[in-house]
Amino acid sequence: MSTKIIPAEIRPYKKKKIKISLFDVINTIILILFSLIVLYPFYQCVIISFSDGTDITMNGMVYLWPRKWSIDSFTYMIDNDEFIRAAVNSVVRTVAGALIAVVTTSGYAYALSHNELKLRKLYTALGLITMYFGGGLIPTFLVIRSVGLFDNFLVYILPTAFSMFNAMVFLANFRGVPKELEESATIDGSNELVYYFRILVPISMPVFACVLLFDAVAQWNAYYDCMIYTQNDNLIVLAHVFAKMLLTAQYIEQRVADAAIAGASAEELMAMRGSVSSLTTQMAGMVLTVAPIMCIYPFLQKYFIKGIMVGSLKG
Amino acid sequence: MQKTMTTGDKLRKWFRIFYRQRYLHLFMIPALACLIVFKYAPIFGLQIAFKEYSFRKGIFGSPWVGFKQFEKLFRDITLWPAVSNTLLISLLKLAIGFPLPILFALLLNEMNFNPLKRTIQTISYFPHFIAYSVVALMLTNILSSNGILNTVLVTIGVLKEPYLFLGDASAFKWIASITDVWKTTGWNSIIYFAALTSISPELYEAATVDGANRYHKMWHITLPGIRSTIVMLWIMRVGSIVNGANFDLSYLLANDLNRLGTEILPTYVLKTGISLGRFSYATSLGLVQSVVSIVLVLIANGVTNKLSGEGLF
Repeated sequence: MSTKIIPAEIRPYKKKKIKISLFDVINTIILILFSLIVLYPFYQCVIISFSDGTDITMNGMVYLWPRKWSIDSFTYMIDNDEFIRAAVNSVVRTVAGALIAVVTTSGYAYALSHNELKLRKLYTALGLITMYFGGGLIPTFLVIRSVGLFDNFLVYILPTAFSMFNAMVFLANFRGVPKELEESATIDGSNELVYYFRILVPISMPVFACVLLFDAVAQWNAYYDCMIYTQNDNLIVLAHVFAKMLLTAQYIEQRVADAAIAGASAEELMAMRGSVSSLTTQMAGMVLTVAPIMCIYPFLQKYFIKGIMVGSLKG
Repeated sequence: MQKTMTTGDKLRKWFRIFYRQRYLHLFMIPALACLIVFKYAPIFGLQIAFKEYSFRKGIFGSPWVGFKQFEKLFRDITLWPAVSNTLLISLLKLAIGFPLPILFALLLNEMNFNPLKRTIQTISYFPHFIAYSVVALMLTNILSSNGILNTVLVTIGVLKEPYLFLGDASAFKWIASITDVWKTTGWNSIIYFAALTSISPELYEAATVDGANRYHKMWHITLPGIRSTIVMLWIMRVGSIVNGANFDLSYLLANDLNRLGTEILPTYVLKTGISLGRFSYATSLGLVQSVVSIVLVLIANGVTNKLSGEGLF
């Protein structure tokens, strides 16, 4: 395909002599402010996670720099069994889920890239309809339960194994591969399976990498399926740990409020609150969860503009 | 001499070609299985909106009740806060979130210092890759009584004392829509950047020769150049007016104080359908929602076609 996108930076219109106008100054200030607003919440999480928990409770919040450094929150999180279990589950679902999704989706697109394929219109229509219409939450829930995926690790992997959007990204790419390549491979005696794995996958590596990374991020961040389709604590994933923190905190606050109205003593109320994790440990968990995404972010960035453009324009 | 092919011949030929393509059809199987089980089976399951679903009898065995669920739906007063919140949040998101990526792309496009430009771009995409549960947790910290927002507002004197933003039902629509805009502005601007790069440079050169200044160029070259992209995204966004409110934020940030402002249709469906077990009722609500969404897209497309002939289909 190679619709090469010229980065906005090397747009042609350039002034001969550099003149800085008032507009440039205001524009730059606005844009820098915008990026600070985007970044600051993350930054504050990082400095809170490296702060001493008791110091925060006693002397108040930190905004720019930790008052008292500490990595206790991180060691606490790493010693926390539930967090480690969630991390393992997240890694497994991310790797397995993304790989399976790429195989399923690219296979569909590879078959469709042959114009002479029988039933091609039917296959395409079956995929396209799902982009505009779906069964919705309750019927999906009932189906997942009736096929035995409730409380099953596969519920993270199978329902997301095919995506029509990604299929169109692959399709646009495969259509750009010269037909002669496959013809000559066929003459040499290899069938479609051999051609796909030995030739098509290697020469389409960029698009495979792109979709793989996107699927991986989506898997890493998904918590909805964990929340709705599982009850077993052994199946918890990282993104759900935070959802659970929020929901538990509200639940406990409510119970504390009820108990206070019922006339419970201060010690009893404190004991009830005890199971809410402290701010610093929450933030440490968050930093540990976001860190892997930050690590693959440079690779992501390399591919995603290409990916999103092909998908949206051809779609 | 050429014989005309009989139906049997045609069929045989069709199967011969089909057999020759067997490996390609093999490639389709995983995707088709996925589509049938996880996409079409639920669509088929939508029939329970017209039934009185019970676990014991299953989807097929449950008795048909016609439009009873829909009648209940329109008589249910507890539903209306969810409807109005969904519409309010979606409209706010559309009002702030639709023009902002365009503005961002235009402003960044005017910037000439490339390293800074690239850095800002990179930063702006980042929140898109963060889970909503993480964002929600971050938000509780920012909006808490000693969070950055309260601290800043108290310091500059807008507020006398910290305000509990998450305890205010009427503030939630702003919290939800601004958070969403924060998360998506950079990402949604990518498509406009791509459209901007496809504008021919000669147009700008010619305009410069003719003495056009920056504003003239922006108004007469840049904006018309990305017009079709704007129209396309506009049509796609209009359908989101009935389902554009974000489930994650409404579900995770709901508490007893802001319940009236956080309840939206998806959380209502989840609660009535799964927690209370009113499966048929919740399904009918979901069905109405997606039908209205499709109708809105068709209307938006029709109107755009009438006005400018630039509709999607």
